[in-house]
Amino acid sequence: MPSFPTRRSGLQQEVVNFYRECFRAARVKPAQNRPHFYSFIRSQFREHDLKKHDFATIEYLLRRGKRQLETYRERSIDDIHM
Amino acid sequence: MSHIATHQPLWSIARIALVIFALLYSASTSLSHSNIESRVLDILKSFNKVDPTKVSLNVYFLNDLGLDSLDMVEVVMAIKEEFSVEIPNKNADEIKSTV
Repeated sequence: MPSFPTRRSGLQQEVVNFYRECFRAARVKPAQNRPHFYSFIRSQFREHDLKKHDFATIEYLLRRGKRQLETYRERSIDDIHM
Repeated sequence: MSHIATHQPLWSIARIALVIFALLYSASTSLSHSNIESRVLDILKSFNKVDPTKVSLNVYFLNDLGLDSLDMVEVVMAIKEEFSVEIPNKNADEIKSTV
């Protein structure tokens, strides 16, 4: 019997929305390089060992991530290496 | 931020296929329900994190395939691209399983 998903907090939803925004931005990059961007996004989101209640760190990382996104959105950046 | 208690539906591939079928029915007569189901199955199977042997119509994304909410963003985006449909983000966030 599957468990019902717990209601997501506003902060969790913000993180999910931001994840989506990052992938949408990566879709604009040259097709052969998109997987590089996808890998980068996944690793950036998952590398932090965070607790759900660690609000200060989560909010800090969100702010930092959004600044990073604006940098990587630049059309001059068409590939990324990890 | 409102926290109204709502019943969140559990999604499966069968249900997603029905939604997509309904969305596309008027646009294309060559699209069959089982064709949609198999294409969604293929999308799931092609995910690195997913064990393809576990994927079936009634599998639950969260509980059976070990996918989390971030993975679900990618799954839904892949489905939207595959079928060129728009699933409103609100509904996309509710998609938690393939049933």
